[in-house]
Parts: sequence; structure tokens; C-alpha cells
Amino acid sequence: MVFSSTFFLFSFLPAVIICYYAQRLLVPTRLRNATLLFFSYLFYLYGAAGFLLILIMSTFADYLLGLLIDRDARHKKLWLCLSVIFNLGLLAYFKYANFFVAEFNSALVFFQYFPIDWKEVIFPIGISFFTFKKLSYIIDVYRGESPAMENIVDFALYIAMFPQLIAGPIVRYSYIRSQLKDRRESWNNFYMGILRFCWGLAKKVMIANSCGQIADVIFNLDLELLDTKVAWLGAIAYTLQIYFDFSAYSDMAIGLGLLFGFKTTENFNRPYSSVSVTDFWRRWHITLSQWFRDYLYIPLGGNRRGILRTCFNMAVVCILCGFWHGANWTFLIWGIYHAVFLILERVTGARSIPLEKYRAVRRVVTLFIVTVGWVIFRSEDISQAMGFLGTMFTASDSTLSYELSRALNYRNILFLMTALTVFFLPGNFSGIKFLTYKKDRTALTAGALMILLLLPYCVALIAGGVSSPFIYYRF
Amino acid sequence: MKKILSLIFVGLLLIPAVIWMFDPEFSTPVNRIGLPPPRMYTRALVDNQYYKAFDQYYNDSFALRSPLVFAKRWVDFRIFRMTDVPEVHIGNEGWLYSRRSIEDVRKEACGNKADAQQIALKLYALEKIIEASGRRFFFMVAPNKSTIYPEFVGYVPQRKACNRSRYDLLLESIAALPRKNFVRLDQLLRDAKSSHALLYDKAGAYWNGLGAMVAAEAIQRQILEDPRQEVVLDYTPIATVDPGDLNRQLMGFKSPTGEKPVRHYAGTGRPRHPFGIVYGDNFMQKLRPYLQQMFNRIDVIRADRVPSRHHGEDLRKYEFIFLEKAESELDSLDIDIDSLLSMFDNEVRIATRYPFDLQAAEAVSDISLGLAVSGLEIKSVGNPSVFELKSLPASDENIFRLLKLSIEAPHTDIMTITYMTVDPYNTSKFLKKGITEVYLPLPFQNPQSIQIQPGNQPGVFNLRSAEIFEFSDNPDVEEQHPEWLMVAETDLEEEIPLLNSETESDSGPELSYSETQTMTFITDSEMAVNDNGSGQFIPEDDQRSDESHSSDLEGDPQNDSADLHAGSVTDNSLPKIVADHSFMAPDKEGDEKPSVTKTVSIAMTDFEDGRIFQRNGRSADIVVSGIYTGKPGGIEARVLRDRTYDEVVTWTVIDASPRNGIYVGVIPDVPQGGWYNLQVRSTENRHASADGTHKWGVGILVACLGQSNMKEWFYTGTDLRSHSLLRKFNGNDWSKLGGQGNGAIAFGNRIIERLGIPVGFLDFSVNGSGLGKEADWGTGYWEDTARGSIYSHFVAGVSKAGGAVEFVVSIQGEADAARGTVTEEEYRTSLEGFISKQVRVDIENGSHREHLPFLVVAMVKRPGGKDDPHQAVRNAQYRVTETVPDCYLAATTLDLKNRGRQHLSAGAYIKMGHRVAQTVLFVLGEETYHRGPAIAGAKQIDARTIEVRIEHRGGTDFTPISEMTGWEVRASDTSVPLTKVFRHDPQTIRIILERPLAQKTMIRYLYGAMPDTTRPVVDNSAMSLPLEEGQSEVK
Repeated sequence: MVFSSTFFLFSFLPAVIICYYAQRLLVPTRLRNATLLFFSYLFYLYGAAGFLLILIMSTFADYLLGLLIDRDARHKKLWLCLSVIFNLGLLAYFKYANFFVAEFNSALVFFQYFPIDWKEVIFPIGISFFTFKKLSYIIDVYRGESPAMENIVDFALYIAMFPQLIAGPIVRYSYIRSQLKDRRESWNNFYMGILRFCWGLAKKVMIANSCGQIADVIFNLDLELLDTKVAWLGAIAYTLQIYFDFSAYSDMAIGLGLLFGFKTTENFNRPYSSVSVTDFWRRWHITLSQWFRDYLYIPLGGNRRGILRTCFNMAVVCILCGFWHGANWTFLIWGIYHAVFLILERVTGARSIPLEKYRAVRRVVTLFIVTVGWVIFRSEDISQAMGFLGTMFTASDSTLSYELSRALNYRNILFLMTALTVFFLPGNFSGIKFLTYKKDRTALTAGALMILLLLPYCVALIAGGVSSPFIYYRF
Repeated sequence: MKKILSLIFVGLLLIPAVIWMFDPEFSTPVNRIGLPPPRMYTRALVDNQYYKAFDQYYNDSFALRSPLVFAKRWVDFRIFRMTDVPEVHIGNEGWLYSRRSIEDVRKEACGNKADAQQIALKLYALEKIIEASGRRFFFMVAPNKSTIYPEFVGYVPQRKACNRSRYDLLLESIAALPRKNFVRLDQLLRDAKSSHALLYDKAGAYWNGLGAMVAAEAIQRQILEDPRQEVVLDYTPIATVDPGDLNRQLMGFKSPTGEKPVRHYAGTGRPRHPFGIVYGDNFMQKLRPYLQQMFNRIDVIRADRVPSRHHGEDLRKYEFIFLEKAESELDSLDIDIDSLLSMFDNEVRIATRYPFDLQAAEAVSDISLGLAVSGLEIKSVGNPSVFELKSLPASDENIFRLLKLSIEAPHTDIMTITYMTVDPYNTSKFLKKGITEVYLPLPFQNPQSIQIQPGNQPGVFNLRSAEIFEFSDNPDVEEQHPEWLMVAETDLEEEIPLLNSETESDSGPELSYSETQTMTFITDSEMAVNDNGSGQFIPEDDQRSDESHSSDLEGDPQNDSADLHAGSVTDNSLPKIVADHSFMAPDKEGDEKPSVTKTVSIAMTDFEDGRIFQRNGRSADIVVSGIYTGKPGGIEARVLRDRTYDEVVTWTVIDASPRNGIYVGVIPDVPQGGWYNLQVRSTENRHASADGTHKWGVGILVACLGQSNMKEWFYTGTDLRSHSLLRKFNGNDWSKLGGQGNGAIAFGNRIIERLGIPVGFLDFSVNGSGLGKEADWGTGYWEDTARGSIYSHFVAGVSKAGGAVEFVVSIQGEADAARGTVTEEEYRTSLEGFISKQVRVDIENGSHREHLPFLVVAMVKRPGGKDDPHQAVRNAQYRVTETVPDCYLAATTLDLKNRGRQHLSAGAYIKMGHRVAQTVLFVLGEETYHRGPAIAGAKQIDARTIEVRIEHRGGTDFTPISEMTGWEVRASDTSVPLTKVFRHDPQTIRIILERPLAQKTMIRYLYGAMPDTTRPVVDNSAMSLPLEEGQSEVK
């Protein structure tokens, strides 16, 4: 189920709000997690009907393993390994099996052997996110940073909570544990949640989708119809689309959490204001970066074992981070691409330059690097990426295609221009902070306008347009 | 404040649910076809596709959809000057264009060159034929708005490599022909545009009154033979508040057409002005008033086909025939030369006609040709069979030529003709069972040949004659024909009328050779044996003399080769016959060619597994075909019962003298029933045989057409198991129904249980399909006969299934009612035309009735929308079943339970299936009734009591006794509140009113889109049939 769908907005969300607060009035706190869990499973059923059982069974397995790690200190490493193998095995099978078999078959054919007969595995949405959440829980319990969860409903809710189930943020168990047991719903939180949700909805429906229309047309063009200006337009449009799309989802997820009293970690912090690639990864998909830092980079030795080992660790993390996004060579190359710049910044000491120094130039350079990276990320395969980049960096001129001329309408251009402001605004500016934290009449008026005007317009766009799921749904 | 805003937010989210609770039909699609709810079944709960479909359905039908979408489109257009509506293109300064016309602006039509040439050639043929009949013909293309006003189109990239639109290609093709009756308007309109007067409105797709006047003046200049007759056309601007058809589309509303498809107008009344007929489209709306000023009288027909199939116009009545076509719709122009020539019959004066020698026929692949008394016998195994007519004369600037073929087909089928020109193109002709005459315009290119695939089904066809008709403007031109073609050439100076086809075909063609002559085929191996070293072939006399039934020139495939190639012939004047056996299965030993020794092998074209042949009476003649090698003598076949191998039809010789490696013949009188298997063998070497492995049967074929409720017949419900003799054909496979599709299974099972014979459904229903063009919501409409239309797909599908069916069942009407503007008369005319001028012409009647029985299921309830159009459609359906012979009301449906918006529940489809089966059994004489009771009349008993008389058919009484719903009493167009409706006696219902009646009163039962049928009147017959909807004046 997509947050920006009419069914979610007009059926699922009102139903979950009413049921949640109705049971709160009847039996305070006792069934609130069970209610949310029920709706979370319904949510997953709607989006990945065939895989609900896998989610439930794997949750149950990790619940048991967590208890075993907590209570059986002698064998806790064994249970940890079992859990890691189990979770990564599931992830590998569902997400990467098709890719590896296809590559293996290509090799077989190359050497004139018959390929393996393989029925494609269907990818269950959200598996990358809930697997990482489960691993986070198991490792935290293993490390003794948190005790194992006694209540299976609470644990299942942590894994399956519908706002974060499909595309994060990857909330750490230690962060949310207390909220699962003891959280307080309030009108203020509810209102903040509404604003955050509407803010995300507007970003997704108006800006991300408009940029997406342009980017999709350009990336679907034959390479011979592409010229330099169009290629750059496509790269910029996609750069904006992926940020507004994913951050919109995160905003909506955080907003939905607030509706039910949950405070969720932020996932973005103006990434296109970054002054270096290192800075970019502190601001982009923060929960994933932190996950890799805490559960992979630091266990590998972090930066404490010399510069070579540090560079190696960074490369491993970046490559795995790229591969986490999907089984495609483009993601792998995208990971390596970022690893190269991260290592360069560390080796040259560029990451240590104070933030304020050469800020403008460094922002432009970083944005350029990131934009080029997104072209690799967005391309269907390496040859498209190379062709696209080749067009970006060699002068050429051709007529616009008809499809692109239709996509470049005033609405899309207006929203693209609006989106472009993120390239120029100060690094600490936040629109949502203005709306949610400023306690004055202006903020309230803006909030009211958002609910009364922006929300209906967004719904009208959804109702009259083509369904456009979030980009990160497929990761 | 935050609390209030929070509550407002929740309130906004709840609005659709609240609206739905109070008015579930609030957002029922009006003027559009809504998505159907996905089918629910047990496994759907874990099926991702189900949820996706449900999500789309929800988004399409939630309560606030219509106002939100309207608001979005308004903002898009008014503020952003853009639209997501694919049919409309927004240009500069608010100019709107139809998206279809933008395709022409892009000038990417080079791939359609052959089509343009074909249209031009057909137009030329049309012109020549009409002029040869002493009438005048003009043709014009109404330019796209974008052609005249390209400056407002905005940015539309053009593909430089092509740079031609369809119109450009047509102009090129027309320029290559010596045409004179084409009114070219594009340049004239461009010139007129310089006067700064708008010729097309900003928000309309078609020209306005001024643009039409410019066109009319050009037409007048061209059609008036004497310039002194020219009159000044009166321009009367029409004050209108019409926002423009494109503007309506932009906001999501379908444009009403406003005009009937056939209109008769008075003209000037002046005798020197002609009586004309105009074929046109929406451009004609503004042009017609001007045309009226040029004609004595004028009839306007909206049709893509000339002559139209539906409107029954008789072109002989008119002195002037005018064809107008929009530039963007050139693709849909369909000129039916065969009908035109049939219509003019002996009025067409042709300069010359002479027979075309059938010896010029050559086999191309998998076909056997033999000349006989009656013409060219063609044994075809179906799709792979092709032959060629060579050395056809071309048309030239002085003489236009038509090739007339008179073909006798054993069944209805579709013949495909490919013109082997520089850019080959093909056309198809529908063949009736019996003799069909087809006319093929001959292009202006040499050398000329055409390849003909006789049909999709195997059979023995007979090309009884081929003739060349010549039309000449200049009687002095004498064309030199090849000597062998000049056999029956008539005197060029004497124009003769086109003979009546019947008399002509009876006498048979005049041939320049012996009537018993047939062609001889030889093989590579024979070539090798008989080659005298000089490459000259010497025929084997002894082989020819073996054939007692043929002459000494008769061909004989005495070949021992599996790979028959072109052979030469004994007579140098006879052409070679080529047979391509590439489709033959290799021998068991591999692909080696058989040796010269006389081994015989036979392969049979087995029927598709589960195929059902339409019975003819209580049996059917089954065509059997296949290939052989060696000398099989004759081929015989028999029919066995599947599994038990009991002989159903004993060995019967089907082809006593197979030729050219192909045999085709008929097993007569295979009794109805099934399943069967087929066996064939050689009459001389009985070890050479082939066994069919697929089972097939003889039974009843039912063609199913219509829209989603027919589709749902085959998909909704898993409550029944289909009988083993029930099958469905979709154009490709004969499949079992298994357990899915309550309606179809209920219907089929009941027929099979009663008659014990196989039943096959030919399912060609299309979701959302309308009957008329105005109800085309993007999925097609049934009146459309153009190539690629849903109707042509239906006809082709039935042809694949043998061409004949016993019943046609139609469940349709919702798409037309959704238009909101359909009238009873419009729908009735369309449906009548569809039945009598399309279905019954193109589909062979496999029943014992005089006409192919057409069963109409009355339109189901459709919540929401306007009552009147729904009632109009149903009334029209009822009327058609009363006026069209052998057309039956198959079922009424208003009492059946709805699921979702316009479909029925699974259980309701079972009832509907049983009702249709009852009608079929009634038509077959197996049942005595098929319709429920009807209202016979109503009279006022006292001031507040009305008595309604019921006429029973199958039952004798009815229920419920009281509190019946669906009744309405109307006085002065307002409803009178009812106090009570109850059964008085088995033939009478009494209605008690709240207030006394004073005015003239009507009662009606089950009126409108969604009448209340919670307690309908149902009779006590075994079928429990409902009282039919109706109305009656209260006496």
C-alpha cells in the first residue's frame, strides 16, 4: 500500500486512527500495540500478499532467537550467527538470487554450457528494511545494549510497524524500545504528525512526481535522441526526484508515527547542502548510514587500524551499501563510485576542512559528484549509464522528443524550479521545522492552509493521475 | 486551534466514507466507463494482483473522485496550461488540438505508404465506378486544425528522416493517379487564414462556420460544371455558448454528437441542382448548411464505410456522391467496392470486359490447383495455402482496371489477397458459403500479380471465373491485351452493362482450353529421372495414363519426394505449379528425402483439442485435410469415439484423387455428439494411415459478444463445475471452463444436460465496449467494421471456428447508457443494423431457423447515472426482440443482485445463465416458454386503487403476496406515493395510492437505471421468472 494512494488516505488511515483511539478510550494502552500490529499486517498484506507469512514467521524466529541470546549466555554467539545467517539468507535469496543465477547463466552460456533452469524469485517489498531492523535488534541484544523483548506483540510491532515497514527509516531497537512500552499520545503530537504527513505528501505528489515525470521520459529515451542539455536535465530531475521522493516518504513515516505517539529518527538533513561526500553520507539516508557504521564499519575496525584498513573498511561498507539497494551492477558501481570519493577525502584530508571554509564551492563540487552518481544509480544497466554520462560530458544538440515536450509543462517546470531551491538554501534551513516548531500565528495559518488547500490538491493529483509508488519501495 | 485542525484533517479523510454510507452511488461514473471491481475468490487474499486491481478500482470509484478530478483538470488547464488527458493537446495561447491530429503534425507516417496507396486506389476505383454509372463523385479531406494553424501547436518535434504525414502520403498517392475529382482544401484554408478571420475555434477540433464556408466555396467551384450557376453562399454565424468539444474532453466529459447518423435535408429545390448524398464526419456539422445551398436535396450520412453497412442508402437514387473525411481519420476510411458494384448492378457502363485466363494461376504453397469444368478447383489446407495470379494487366492513365473474381466457398471464411507491388500490401475479403464476387482494383504498376490465401479453414474452393473490367475516360484508346487474354474481349466501342452476376456464374467462364484440362505437377526426383540432359522435361506417359478419371493432360503428383518443388508442365502455355511443403513433419528417420521407391506416407491436420463443429441439423460435414507423399491412390477417413474407439462413421473416401501432395475432403454426416477422434488412410496402401490424437465433437456453437457482463459470465463465480462437453474458444484455443464462470457454466451445463451434445462458446466480449461510435470509450465499439476493430476480430474468430454458429448471445448496453445522451431510437436502430447488416451477413447461420438466432440479454441494473438513457437502452432491446425476426429476449436481469457497480453477483450469473439456456431450449423447441409474466394493462378501480393485469407465460401465479417493490404511479410527470401494492388474484396486482387520482395516470414497473427490486414479482414457473419491466396507461 502506498501512502500516496486514495485507499490509504480515505480508508486505511481513517480506519487505523479510529480503531487505535477508540480502543485507547475503552482499554487504555492495553491493546494499542496489538491494534497497530493488526493494521500493519493488513498494510503488508495489501502490498505483498504472498509474503505476509514470511514476515510473521521470520519475526517469530527472531523473537525466539533474541530470547535465547538474552537467556543463554553460553551459546549466544551461536544464536547470533543463526539469526544473522537466517536473516541474510532470506535477504540473499529473495533479493539477489535472480541476479546471481542470471550472471552465472551468462557465464555458462559464454562457455557454451546449458544455463540453469531457474524460476524467478519475486521480491517481497520492504525485506531490506525489516531485515536490517531485525539484525539491529539481535545485535543490540547480543551486545547487551538492550534486553530482549518479552512481549511478542511489541517485538512484532517494532519489526512490522506500517509507517516504516516498507522503506524505513531503519529505526534502531534501542531507540524505540521504550516507546513501544511507554509512549504518550497527545494533540500536539497528533497535529505535528498531520503536518509532517501532509508536508511529505505534498513533496511526493507535487514535487517528486513532477521531477519524476521529466526524469522518466529522459531516462527512457533512446541514447541517440539524447543530447547534452537533455541529459543534464534528466540527471538534475532525477537528483531532485530521488531526494524528494525518499525524504517525502520519511516525512510521512515520521508523521504517521507521531499520530500514534511514536517519535522516529530523522532520515535526511538537507543532503544537497553537503560540503563533501563524507558530509553527504551524514545527511542522506541517515538511518542506513548509521546502521552500516555501527554494525559493519566499526566491527570491521573503523578508522582505528591505520589508513589502509580504514580505506578498505570504507570501500567494503560503500560497496555493500550500494548492493543493498538492489541486485544490479549499477548499484555496485554507484557504491564503488562513492567509496572512491570517500577514500579520497580521507586520504587528502579534505574531510577535515572546516565546514564554513569554501562552503559554496564545496557544495557545488559535492552536488556535481552526487548528481553524476545518481545517473549511474538510475540507469538500467552499465551501458545506459556510460552512454548517458557520455552524452552529459560531450557537446551535442538535438530536437526535444514529443514526450519530453509534453513532460516539460508549466506544472512540472514550476515544481522542478521549486525543488531546485534545495540546491541553494542554507544548510540549516528546514521548512517543516518552521511549520512544526514555530509557535506563532503564521505557522498555524500555514498549517491550516496545508491541511485545507494543499491536502485536497494533492489528493486531486492522486485521483486524477497515475499511481506512482515510492522509488525506495523496490529496495 | 491544533485540535480543530487535527479534527478537520480526520474529517477530510472521512468524507468519502461518510458519503459512501449515505449514498453509495455518489461517485458512480457518469459519462465514462468505470473500472470493474476485481473478482474475489479464496486465493485472491494472497494474490498481489488482486490488491493492485482493487487499489485501481478504489481510486477509480471513491466518493470524491469526480469533483477532485475535475478540480485537478481545471487547475492543470487554467493555471498550468497543461493536461494529462491523452486525447487533447494544449498548444500556445490556449489553443486546443486533438491529440490524434498531432500525430499528423509529427510527420512520421512513412510506414503507412502502402495503406495510403491502397486508399488512393480505392478512391480512384470509387470515382471511376460512380462516373461509369452516370453519377458524379467528389472527395475531400478536411484538414486538421493543426495543418491550418500550426503556429499555435507549440513545440511538436518532427522526425526529419520521414517528414510525411498520412495526408502527405495520400496526396502523393493521389498525385500518381489521373484523378480529377479531389477537392484539395489545405492550401485554400491557409490562404483564407491570412484574412485574420478564425477558421477553427480555439477549443474545437473541427472548423467553425467560416472555415466551413471557405471549404464550401471550393467545393462549389469544383462541382459546378457551369460557373454561371455559382451562387453566393449565405453565411449565418451561429451564436453559441458551446465551450468546444476539446474543452469538454479536457474536463473529462465526452462530447455529445448531437446529430443522427443519417439526416435528410431539403436543399435549394432547384431542378438544375443535383440530389446528393454526403458521407462525412464531424466536420460536416458546420459544412452541411452550405452544401444545402448547392444541392436540390441532400442526405448526410455519418459513416467510415462507403457504402455504409447500416443505413441502407441506395446510391442509385442520387446524382451526386460526395465523400468527406477528416485528415486525422484517414486510417478509418473503408471503401467497399464489392457492395458498390452490387448496388449499381447493371447501371455501371464499362468499356471492356474480358475473362482472365485461370491458367495464369500458380500454386505458391501448400495448395492444390486443378482446372475443371466449373473453374479452378482449389484444395486448401487453411492458412498456409496460397496461390498466385500472374500477368495481370495494370491500370494506366487511360484505362482503369478491376479484377473480378467469382469464388465458390464451402463455408464462410476470410480470403486474404496480397498485391505483389513494389510495396506489397494486402486486403481481405469475406467469403460467404456459396458464391461470392469480389472486385480488386488493379494498381498502376507493372508487373502485376496477386497472391491469394483462400481462407483460414481447409476446404475445396472453386474460382469459377476471373474477369478484367476496364473503365476508360477516352473511348478512342484501344488497349493492346496479351493475345491469350483476348479470348472473349468485347468490342471496345460498344459499352456494355455489367451483367447480372447470377446469370454469369451459371454459364461459367469461357476458357481458351479444354474444360477437362488440369495441370501436371512433377517433382525434383522426376525432373532428375526425366531430364534429357538439356534441361527439357519429358513427361512420363505411363503415369498419366494411370489416371482413369483425368485427361491425358491431367496433373498428378506421382512424386516420391517429400519436398515438392516447382515443376514444369507438359504444355508450354501452362504455368508451373509450385508447392512448398516446408510445414511437413520430417520422416521418422530424419530429414532425409524419401527414395524414388513408391512408399506412401500420410499426415493429417488434426483438429485442435476440444474443438466443436457446428452441427447442421443433427450432424455435420467435417472437412479433413492433410498432406501425403508417394501414391496413396485415394484418401479415406473415419470417425472413432474418443477412448472407446467405437466406430462412429465408417471409412469414407474423402478425396479420390489427391494432387500435389495435398488432400482435402469431407466426411459427411458425422452425428452430433462427442468426443471423437479422426483416422485417415490411403485407399491403396492401408498401412499408410494417420491417427488424430485430439478429441473433437459436433454440437452447438454459441457466439458471445458484448461487454463486461458477458466477460463476467466466463470469470465470476466458482460455484459450478463445467460439463466435460463444454468448451470455450477465444480465437486461439479451445479450452475447458473448469470451475470458473458461473454464467457460462450454468448455461452450457443446462443445454448439455438436456441435449447431450457438446456446447462451445466463442467468447469475443470486450470490457467497456459500446455499440455505437459515440459509446467508444477507448476499447472499441461493435458497429466498427474496420480492420483491427473488435467486430472484425469477432468475425475472424468465428471464421476460425468454422464460420457458422447456432446462436449469438449479446450482453451489452452499459457503455451506451453511460453516454447519458443515447435515445431509444438511436440504440434500436444501431442494434437492428448490427444484427441484420453485420452479424447475420458475416456469420453463417448454423441453426434450423430462417435467420441466425440473436439472443439479447436485457441490460443489467447500473447504479447511478441517469435513468432515461438506461431505460432507453432497455426499451430498445425489448423492441428489437419484437421487431427483428429470430431475435429473442434471452433474459431479463433487473431482479438479479448486483455486485459492485454494474456487474452481478456470482449467484445472479447462475440465474442469468439458466434463463438464457431456457431461451435457447425454447428456440430449439425443447421448452414451451422462456419469458416471465408481463403487464397486460391497468385500470382504475376507484379513486385510490389501480388494478394491474398480469399475463402469464410459464407460470400461473406469482409472489410476493404483498409489499412488492419497483412500482411507480405517475400523474403529470410526478410520482404518486403508494400506500400498498399486493396480489389480488393470480392475474391481478392492486396498487393503493395515498391520494386520489385526478389526472391521466401511468403505472410503470422497474424503471430506470437502478429500480428497487428488493421484493420483485416472480412467477411460480419452474424458472421463477420475474415480471418483466413495463408501463401501461391507467384506463
